[in-house]
Amino acid sequence: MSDLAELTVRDLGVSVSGSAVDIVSEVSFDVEARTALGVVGESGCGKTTVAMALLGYGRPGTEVSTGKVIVEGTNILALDRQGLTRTRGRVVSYVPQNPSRALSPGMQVAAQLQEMITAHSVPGDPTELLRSAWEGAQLQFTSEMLRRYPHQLSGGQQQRVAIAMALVCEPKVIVMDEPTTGLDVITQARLLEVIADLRKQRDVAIVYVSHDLGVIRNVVDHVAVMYGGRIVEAGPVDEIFRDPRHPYTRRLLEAIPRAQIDTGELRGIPGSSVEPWNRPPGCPFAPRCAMRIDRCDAEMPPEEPVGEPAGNWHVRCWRSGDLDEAAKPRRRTASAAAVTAAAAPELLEVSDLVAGYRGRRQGIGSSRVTNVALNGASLSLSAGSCLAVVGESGSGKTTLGRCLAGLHRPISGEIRFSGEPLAPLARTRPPDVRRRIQIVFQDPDSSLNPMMSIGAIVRRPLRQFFELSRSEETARVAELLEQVHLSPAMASRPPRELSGGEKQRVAIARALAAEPDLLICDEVTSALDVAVQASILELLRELRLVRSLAMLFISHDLAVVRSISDRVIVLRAGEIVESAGRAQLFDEPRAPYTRELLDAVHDLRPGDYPHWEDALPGGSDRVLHETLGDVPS
Amino acid sequence: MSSGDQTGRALRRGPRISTITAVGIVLTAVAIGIGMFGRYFAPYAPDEIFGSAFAGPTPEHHLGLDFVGRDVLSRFLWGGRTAILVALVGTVVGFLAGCAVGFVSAYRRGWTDEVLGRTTDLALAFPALILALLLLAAFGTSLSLVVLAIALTTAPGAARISRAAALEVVDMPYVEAARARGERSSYVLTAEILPNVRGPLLVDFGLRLTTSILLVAALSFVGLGLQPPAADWGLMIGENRVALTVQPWTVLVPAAAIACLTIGINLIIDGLRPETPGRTDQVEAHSHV
Repeated sequence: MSDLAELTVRDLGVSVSGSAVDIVSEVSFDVEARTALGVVGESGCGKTTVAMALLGYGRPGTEVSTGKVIVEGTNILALDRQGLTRTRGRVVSYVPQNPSRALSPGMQVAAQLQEMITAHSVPGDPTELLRSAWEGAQLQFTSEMLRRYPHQLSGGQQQRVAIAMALVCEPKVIVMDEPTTGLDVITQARLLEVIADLRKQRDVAIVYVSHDLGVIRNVVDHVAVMYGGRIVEAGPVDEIFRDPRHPYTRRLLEAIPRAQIDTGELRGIPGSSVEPWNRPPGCPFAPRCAMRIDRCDAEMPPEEPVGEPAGNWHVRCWRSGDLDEAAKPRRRTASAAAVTAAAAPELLEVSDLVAGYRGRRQGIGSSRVTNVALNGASLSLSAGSCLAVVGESGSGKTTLGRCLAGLHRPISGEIRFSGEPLAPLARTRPPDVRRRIQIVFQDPDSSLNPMMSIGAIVRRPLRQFFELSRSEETARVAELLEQVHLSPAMASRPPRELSGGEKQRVAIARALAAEPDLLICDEVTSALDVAVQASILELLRELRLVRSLAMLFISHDLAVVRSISDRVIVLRAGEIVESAGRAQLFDEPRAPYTRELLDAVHDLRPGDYPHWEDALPGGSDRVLHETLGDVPS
Repeated sequence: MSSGDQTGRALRRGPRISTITAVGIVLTAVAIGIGMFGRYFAPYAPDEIFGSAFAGPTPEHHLGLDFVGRDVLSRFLWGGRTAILVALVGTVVGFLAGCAVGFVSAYRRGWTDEVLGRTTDLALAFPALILALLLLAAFGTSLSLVVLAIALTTAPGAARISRAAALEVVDMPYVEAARARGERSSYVLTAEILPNVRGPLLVDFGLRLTTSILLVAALSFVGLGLQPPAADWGLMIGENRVALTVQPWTVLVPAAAIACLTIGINLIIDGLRPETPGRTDQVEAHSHV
């Protein structure tokens, strides 16, 4: 639509090879030079498929079936093999998600960049090109740095090298596929600065694919929200985040935890997204949409312009005009995080805990090297409260959880549980103590034994800790599944038929089966989509209220921590740098490192939808006092 | 899981039994059928002498006579069962022992792993045939010793493979969850780990079974396996090899049966293997095993 567009995509469709099943359809957008378009959506929405198609690539088993991708007047999708080879990297380049796997491990990094220049026979001085790309990615142009191998670089540096590699042939378009996912917050923040600078300084159009709305909010100019293989809403980033017009965009934003403000209860989106072969004929979001009318099921809504000036902002929804009265954000209610159990006895006391991992012997006679992961941690947790442990990877937070769960033997220090010293390993603990401490892990896909049915998985702790008859067990399994909002009929199904969020619910049900007093949650939401994350957080909060369960909530995500914890400890390289109440930590952090972490969070901006602050004037303290009275302690 | 992965898998998922597997099943069934039940269809007793050595095929003796004038067809039909059973029992015993060692190694780690691992290395350092020959030469030949020899040659490799397979699974969160509950090692190994490594172990078992069949045949061939006048495929090849040019049937028919069996098993294994690498696909393929 704009003549200035560097990249024009029209009616792009990708389908399963040799079939009529569309993975992505009717995707159209323009990206101008010196701007960035964010493509955002849940896993399975087709965003990576679109990113790949921009390079004329369909993943095995898929093919780009229709549409045009035009750069410099050339339709990339019409090119033959040779043409594509010339285009990729030279005209359109790609920054992958995982740089440690994208860089060749046996080659010096500069050589990998030089290879690009040679392969595309780029005119100009190779050294200058290299220097320009290197500096564009804000890497130091020293011979020492250039000669390093990928393993000699940190994760952030590796990703910068990947960006330099994408820049080196001076392409018109750079496609970035989740380039900061998997990096620590601080590293991510620095990398996003690099990308923001690039956008201002270079004549490139950037397509930035991410599931992280907070990141998207802060690095792009335009955003395209994808759902079920289609763009459901697209337009300028400020407008869309302030006043989204598609119910899906709204629900996504309502699900986002925020580090800068108290949000209260987050809302997940019920149901799960549909696979390409099960999509309804109408709006793909209709089955999960609270505003659905009959027309939504029957007919695909067209892209309609909204907002002023027209032509900038498009929404694909029959009911976008009725949104304002229909779906107001829910007024904030009591968050479980507001329950402070000051009078409750200490459930868990950890003093001077030191833990580490033994390395290999370096040679005969030398002693083993111990990598200390946790260096003298002390903390306490009262019954029914939630303590969050925050830190970057390698801070020792997972080791702490594993020590408490009896999966890792600490080197020194003491753990007391209900006043009694806790044996280091689970199998040496008395059964009742084992029962009272349960753990839920990060990755729901590997948390459940793939060869067991859901029922068998949840039944096992019952059999181990309680003496129940078979029918009592079955009834209890059904009860537990209902408690985590799953259908009891699921008991007979294998884990592979469940979505990630459902699997995580089963893992929680398995932990609850033991009727624990302390639940260790090790990054339980970090492998989940934001809407699923919100519903899991909601579930955990509900369980705390209902069962007065104490929680040790391990996470790298400050926003999530803010939404669930009472107290927070911040870990850095095995040491506790700050330990404070939630309100204090987020509003007046004491340790410089905590401040650094908070500054690095890419949050939505004040005034973005949903307008939490508008919903409840008076700040967080008021909620706390108002709600304390009617919460059972 | 992204939609791309799912469509990809949906496309790769062909019919459950591939042509290769079907061929393998037919070959194996034929060889085992002859080996196990052939004797009920044999025209003569295996040790009955009819005429001169290496007489060619006649209407009475379709495959001719062997080096002492016994009916080749009858000996062939009688000669499979013992070898197949010996190989099977030896492999099963050795494989189970090896798996037990491998699983304990992987689960316990530490010095247990070191000791068991180095012992396995030591055992693997002996070539299988030499080990078996040594054993049989030292203690005399008997069927139970052949079974033991087969088991001894099977176990170390099985220990290696099962340890490697189990190592992939022992750190899985679902295993850790079981350990955090304080489950017994025997439960963790049999209920949490074993079902998830069944696929690769079955494949490996098939490979080791073919090796064992060949080893039994080889032992009989050199005279340390089944003893004359027993009818046995390996022994037949050994006894009659001098007349390969005069009376090829005495050698070729049992050799073909052994080949049929080993190739068949290998083809079945090929069919069981996942078509594309990648964890999800493996799990998928193994759940069909």
